[in-house]
Amino acid sequence: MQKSISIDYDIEWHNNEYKILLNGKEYTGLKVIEVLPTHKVNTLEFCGDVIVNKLILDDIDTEYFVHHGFTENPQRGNASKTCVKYFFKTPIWSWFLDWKQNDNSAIRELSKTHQGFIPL
Amino acid sequence: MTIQLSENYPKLIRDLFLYDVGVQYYPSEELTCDQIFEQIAYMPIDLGKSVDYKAMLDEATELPYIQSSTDADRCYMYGPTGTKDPRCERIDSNHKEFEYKINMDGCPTIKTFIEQVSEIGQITYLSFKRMLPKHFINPHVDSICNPFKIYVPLTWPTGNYFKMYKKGFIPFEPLVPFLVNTGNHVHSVINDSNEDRYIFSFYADWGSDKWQKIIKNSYGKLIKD
Repeated sequence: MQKSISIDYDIEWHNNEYKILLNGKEYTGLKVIEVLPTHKVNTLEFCGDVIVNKLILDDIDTEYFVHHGFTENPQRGNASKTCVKYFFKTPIWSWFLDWKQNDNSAIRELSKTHQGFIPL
Repeated sequence: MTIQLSENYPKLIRDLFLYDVGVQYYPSEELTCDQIFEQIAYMPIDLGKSVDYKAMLDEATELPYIQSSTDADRCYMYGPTGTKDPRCERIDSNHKEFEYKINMDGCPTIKTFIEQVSEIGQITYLSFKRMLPKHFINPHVDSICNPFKIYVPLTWPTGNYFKMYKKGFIPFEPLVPFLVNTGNHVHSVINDSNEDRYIFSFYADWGSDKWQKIIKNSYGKLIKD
């Protein structure tokens, strides 16, 4: 049986309103609870003039993953004038540990040390 | 084995302990040191030394630990000359000179241990850790450190766990050293007992012939047993 997960966040927005799209479907409200497939990559988009400060998936604080959102330019970050888009999988705990292990690999750490922050 | 923890621990730790059923597989044939380093996340290791661990524990309880509010208290004891605590042997370290970082007058047995083990091949970093009840270390990977270190639990009260993602729980018991690859595997540690827990860990020149022999022989013993 697939399990529903909660999606919680802390964002700042300016000018007009913002929209949240989960797998392309718009949501309103402060917290999203949804059953998500385990065999696909999910997308979460915060659209508008937004800064995403915190992203808590399934009650797990995803820490600095929040800075790895896709933005309108080729960079990564947590702020955009249009949309910040995140990709993630479920179960959250194992996806996040895989992501963390990859982001902290020795090769990436050496790159970060010598070249600064390197988005994936 | 999976474990259901209380809400004292963050959700990520609770899920890791409850849902991750991965285990370390030990190939049944002899492995070279390179293969061990590449394929084995943890294994018991026979240092081939007679060590008075009881005396070491007595000394360990009196060390000047730097306290942590949630994870492990640390005492940096031995490492590269002249540097601040790098918290591990850094992966890019090329130090050749090492020194004690605290006054060793109060811990002669630990000093003897360091001298004895350095005869095998240079120890490059050694620290003691005390973990208080209900403290925990969040899942992380020590990628900027030498991936391989030896842990020696001086106590391991029931309720202490060292969990490696996709590799299971290290079957620690008091006074049994383990070689652990913390640089390539996410791991998390908790003390869910009501007692303080003491452990020390060290890095060494794993390229030295004697260390390579010890590691290889320890693996051979593991698969024979």
